[in-house]
Amino acid sequence: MNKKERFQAVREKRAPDFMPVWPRVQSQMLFSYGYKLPEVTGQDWYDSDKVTAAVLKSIKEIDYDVAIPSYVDYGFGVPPLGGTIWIPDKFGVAAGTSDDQPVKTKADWPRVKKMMATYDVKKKDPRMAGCLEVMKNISAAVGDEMPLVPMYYVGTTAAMFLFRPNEAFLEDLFEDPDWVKDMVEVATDWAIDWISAQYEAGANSICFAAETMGTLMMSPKMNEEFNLPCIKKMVDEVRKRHGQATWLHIHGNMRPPKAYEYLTKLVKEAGVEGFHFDENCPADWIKTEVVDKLGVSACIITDGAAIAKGPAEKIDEAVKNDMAKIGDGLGLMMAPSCQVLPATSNEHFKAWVDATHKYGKYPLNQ
Amino acid sequence: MAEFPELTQAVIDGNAKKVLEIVNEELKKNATPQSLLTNYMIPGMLHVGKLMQEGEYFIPEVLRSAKAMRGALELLEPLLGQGADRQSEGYVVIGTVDGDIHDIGKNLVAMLLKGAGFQVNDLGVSVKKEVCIEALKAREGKVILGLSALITPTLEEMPIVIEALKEAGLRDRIKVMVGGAPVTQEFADEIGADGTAEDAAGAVDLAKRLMQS
Repeated sequence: MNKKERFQAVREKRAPDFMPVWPRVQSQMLFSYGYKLPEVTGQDWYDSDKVTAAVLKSIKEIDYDVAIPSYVDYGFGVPPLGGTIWIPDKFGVAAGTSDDQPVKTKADWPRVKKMMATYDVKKKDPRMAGCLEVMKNISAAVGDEMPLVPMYYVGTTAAMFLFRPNEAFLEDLFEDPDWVKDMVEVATDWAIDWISAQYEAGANSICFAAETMGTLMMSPKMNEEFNLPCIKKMVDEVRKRHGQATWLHIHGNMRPPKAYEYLTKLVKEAGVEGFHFDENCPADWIKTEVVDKLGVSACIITDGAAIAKGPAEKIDEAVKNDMAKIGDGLGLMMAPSCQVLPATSNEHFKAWVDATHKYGKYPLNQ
Repeated sequence: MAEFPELTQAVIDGNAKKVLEIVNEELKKNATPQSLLTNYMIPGMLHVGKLMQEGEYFIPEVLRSAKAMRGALELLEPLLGQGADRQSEGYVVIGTVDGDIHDIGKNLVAMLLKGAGFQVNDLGVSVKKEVCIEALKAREGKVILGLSALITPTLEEMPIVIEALKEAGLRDRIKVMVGGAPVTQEFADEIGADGTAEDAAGAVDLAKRLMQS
């Protein structure tokens, strides 16, 4: 099987030749190839050549099975709206938003909303334009054999990153829910256009939507009120415009009854095809309660500490243990989540990918 | 469902306006600031922490209660300083580590600590180790240092600060608690911290234990 066929098998709950692997967080990928963020991006620029080189090198050397074909961060779209993004000069931290967000008070919202109505996602922000350039380059280089996944945030996460300082936004949820719904709707429409631009630049597989507030920062009830309709809209639009399904990256423990009920609605009502969880959801639970019961695909999350520390033999053992917990393993792939230390060497990462391919041979556990 | 006094319930509900109203009324009736804090407001915040641990409250709800508490504390703190009845559970220096600007979790912990009767010196975000050391040197006796990080890459700053405490000769009297989404007990043990907690309410319990240890 090639990488596209392998991922397709996971999506259809068929046996691949071996378990495919999701890529590393992109800022860490850049860091692991020696780039600090200020060397590849600023408030209004983005070095497509350097990012292209790092992404291609990463794909070639680490041998992931799915790629997010550029470096995408929380700050996209923000500077042209009047905000300032934070670009850390060390470690492998992604650029993010600061308190200098475009909507400091509700009085700023009409101006920003008006700007959003005419926002050309391909041109307005030079960083996003640069990102699309990288996607074109990666598509030309490996798009024939590799699933290339467009990525951005959705719902409250998108609205918070685009418009409001974090804590103020969380207060808005109670103090002005109608305004939040307005911001969330505008942000999601913008996000859908941005995802579309990535497809036009060469993305060729599922849409990867991220809702990082999840059940860590919001109750399932709030998620149903604010996020479920947005996620459904993104799923529907991506299917309509590009014929692709959507996977959701969501943070938090989805095991309690109310959280699981929300998860079920994400599948049954919003039409999410697959999930990329975080460490709060163990592999055996994902297999039985998500893949088998809800009938969707999902990523299992590896032990980040084992990958960071190594050595290769221990990484090998950790992956072997993971595989023993997931029965027939159908509908699953391996993922590093967000919580992998950037100091994790490429050698350890490669050892983890190789171990997944070695112990993840199908039929599994027979 | 438990019934609480009106002020306590207003804190639990995050009703800032009502909390302030009741506090003002009670002060006019000669209630002491310490009694309002200890008997009504702190139990409210502790119950908020319990609801968070039980999965009933999430960060927005806790922030709302913390904001209500903060409004009343602004009114009460100057009065507490003047009063003879001021009690303190301990002194905490807290901050988000260098390289990390996320502060919601740190702010929550700081608010809950204040609500629980601790004096808190909040150093803010992306705090350099030198700033931590300076703040700790300025206070004698046992002090708790709370270090927060949301993003995994900045976890690496935590052992650097602990090492700096040793170099400055402060480690014996400083209790270090570390926290944030990526922090585990294993990590806390590995870097030589004195503890971690699963959530903001747990951080208050931990701070109390550390002051008694």
